[in-house]
Amino acid sequence: MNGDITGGCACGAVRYRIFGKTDSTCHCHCKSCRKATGAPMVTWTTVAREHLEITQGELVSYVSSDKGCRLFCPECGSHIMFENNEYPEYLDVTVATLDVPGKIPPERHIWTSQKIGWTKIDEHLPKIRTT
Amino acid sequence: MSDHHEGGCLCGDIRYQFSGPPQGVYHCHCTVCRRASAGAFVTWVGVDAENACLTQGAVKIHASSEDGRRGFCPTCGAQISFFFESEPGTLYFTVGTLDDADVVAPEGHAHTGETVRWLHIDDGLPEYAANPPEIE
Repeated sequence: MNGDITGGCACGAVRYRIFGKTDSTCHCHCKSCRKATGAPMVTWTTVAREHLEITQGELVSYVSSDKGCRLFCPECGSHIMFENNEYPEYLDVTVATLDVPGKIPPERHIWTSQKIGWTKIDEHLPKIRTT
Repeated sequence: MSDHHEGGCLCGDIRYQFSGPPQGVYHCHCTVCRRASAGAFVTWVGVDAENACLTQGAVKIHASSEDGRRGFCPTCGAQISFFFESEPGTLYFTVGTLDDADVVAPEGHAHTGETVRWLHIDDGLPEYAANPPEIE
């Protein structure tokens, strides 16, 4: 979708703005996302790095694997972004931290091979066992 | 369900355990849980605080409301715990950080008045616009 999109963490210390198009949006069920956030699944949308600006505060990063690192608010722990080493020109952003997450619907599930058995959400969407 | 559960954050700094029957397992769709956990909703298991403890590390506390206290790992950001300051006898853990989340059975959805517009709940569990009866 197009147009300015804003978001931020739970405590308000970090705010960001997306001023371009978001690409694919998916529910990730991998165990790393679960253990990093505490949520049963995490919904990510991909944006070009040049289309995202941190407008307030600073994020801290945690290198979660050789694939990339996760960036979160040091004051409240809200995960905001994932930097994928394979696609350095893009960032994955957590849809749940958007001010209006309902504007960016997911298109698929990924890593359903690691899904918690009882998670039954958006069953109509395509399911991919890995990524 | 086994009586003993263990969990921890992604980086491994924080480890916790609890035993005894859960005092409610609910998916929470409230805006604060959503922003804090970065998930469209977050699943909590309530436990008797006397039967729960951190076995490794220390959480950083974020006061997310007048009464609500959220504990997260300062190294990797994982949301671990929640309690109401007015009810310290009950501690809530994020089911997503349990080592085996499959064995804890959710009972319903809380705060569905704030559910993200596109989210379809397909598990048939009861939905409560605000708190479920156990937490009223």
